[in-house]
Amino acid sequence: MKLNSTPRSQKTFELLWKLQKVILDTLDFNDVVQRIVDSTVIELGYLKLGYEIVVLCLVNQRKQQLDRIAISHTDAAKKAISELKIPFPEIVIPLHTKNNLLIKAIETREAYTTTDWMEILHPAFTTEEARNLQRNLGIKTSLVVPIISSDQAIGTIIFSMSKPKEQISADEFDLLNGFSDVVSLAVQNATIHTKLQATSDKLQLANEKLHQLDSLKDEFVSIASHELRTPMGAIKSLVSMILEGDYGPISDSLREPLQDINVSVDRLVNLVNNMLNISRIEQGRMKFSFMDFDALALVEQVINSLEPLAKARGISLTFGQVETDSIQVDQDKLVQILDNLVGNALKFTDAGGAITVVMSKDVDKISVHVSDTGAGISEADQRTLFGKFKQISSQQKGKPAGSGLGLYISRELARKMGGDLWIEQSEPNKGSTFTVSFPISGTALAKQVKAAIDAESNPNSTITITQLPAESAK
Amino acid sequence: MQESCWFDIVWIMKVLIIEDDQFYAKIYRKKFEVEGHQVESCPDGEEGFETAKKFLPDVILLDIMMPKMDGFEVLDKLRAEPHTAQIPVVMMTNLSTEEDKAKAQQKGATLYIVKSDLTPSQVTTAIKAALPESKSAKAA
Repeated sequence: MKLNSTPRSQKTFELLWKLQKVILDTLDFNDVVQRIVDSTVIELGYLKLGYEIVVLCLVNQRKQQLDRIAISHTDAAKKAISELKIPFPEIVIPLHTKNNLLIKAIETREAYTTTDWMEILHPAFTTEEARNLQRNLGIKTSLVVPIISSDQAIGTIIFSMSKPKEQISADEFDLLNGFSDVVSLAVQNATIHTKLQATSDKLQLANEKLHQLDSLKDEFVSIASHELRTPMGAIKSLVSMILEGDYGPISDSLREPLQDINVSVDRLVNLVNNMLNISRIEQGRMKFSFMDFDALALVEQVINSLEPLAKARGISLTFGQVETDSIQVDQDKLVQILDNLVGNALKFTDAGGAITVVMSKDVDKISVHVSDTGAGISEADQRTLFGKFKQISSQQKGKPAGSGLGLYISRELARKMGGDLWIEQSEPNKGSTFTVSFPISGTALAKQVKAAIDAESNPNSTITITQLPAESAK
Repeated sequence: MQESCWFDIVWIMKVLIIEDDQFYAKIYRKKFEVEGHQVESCPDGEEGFETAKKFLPDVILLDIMMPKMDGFEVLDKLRAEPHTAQIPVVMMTNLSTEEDKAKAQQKGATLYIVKSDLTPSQVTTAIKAALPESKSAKAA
């Protein structure tokens, strides 16, 4: 029988629309298939018309078989399940089976009716088993409708009823035919959704794994830095005490190599601390404690501390034009940033060169510009300068190598404090100007940054030696 | 200024170092002895606590990461024992976490020091600066 030729009435359209709404209301595959088998008997009340059991079967291409997917929540269906010799989902029909009406409906893409359950249960059940079950349930007719999707049958739906075939009305045929289209659409949607869900679950899992790896990395950096600090600290302590004469007088010829060891160990300590800093910044665990300071006073303090080093290198370190105001910063972090900028300038400027510090005032920021007459940085190098472990390729021979972490950390610190850090200008062999900015106290910017940091955590800064409040010692 | 220099020279502290790393124990013992102080050291927390009760030092240098009993446990015991409750304690570590620092503060440590960042001279200077009360008490 060809159902496709049946004309659809207005009533059928309305009922199909109702079914479609019920079925497409959900995207979960298990929900969809259950609604498919339940909707005709429950929503449309076809139970009263003798529809006792509705079963949905879908083609399993991988296993080349037809799987039983869902069965209606009707009394007859429950009785059937209790009488089955195997669980319902295990009733599978190989796709090459002969003499099975379900397979025939799929192959021919046509609907069939049968009065003999042997035709829909073979070869999972013997003829006798199939007929006994059918008789016990009082099923007279089963209508098998293929589910067509893009010209291919993806499964069948079986309507089993307690009335003879002759009593199936034209309207019923009409509806059940149209229903197979709704089912097709719903199954496709749900399948796509389920696949998407599975992909999304996989991504979620991958994301969780990445997070785990990230915290493992953090833990590793923390433990490794502790393990490195212990011997480094011992060397640093011993060298400093030897130089201070705690182990007796030292000869002049030993003083210089000992001082070199001292410098090298300090560099090593800095490197490990920088790695720990980066790990903290990236994990959002870097703590800031903001206070208001006069910008010039703070900058002067750093410049004064570096003056002896500049003098020893034969480089002039002076202030140019200065505008100042009160700025809101974490003092230790500001000192760290300026130490880094002026330190870099000293490192890449030859004797006889000059470093000039200029300060300018903007609407809500004070900027500190550090200019040198040193090596300068090519345009290509400028692009990668702020990356982690980046050093300029045109580094001069004989210049001490840094870790390449300083500028990255300085910029991150400046940004966390509401400012920024950038290369103002630079030209090879002519020198560079680096600028760092900090928010002026009391401005909207300063308040916003403080609120954000306060929200993040308690305002304790990372410093290596801390005088704890006296009252807490009592 | 003149006065504080004079105190630094004559003030002899009793120092207890509780540190499982024998390199550090040796280094700090040497530094304090060179400066003329009286030093005892213990390689673990249990022995350290017992020694503190008998030795009654002016200051205790206490490592955080130690086997058997860690520095924080020792600090708790020291604070719970009447004879040692008031002794200033300097927590020393190389694992500088904000959590540890906050914990040290909350448990009543006087100083929190990251060993690899400071030379022994800087440590003794910081300790002397942090103990003004005991210092003036001794001098009086």
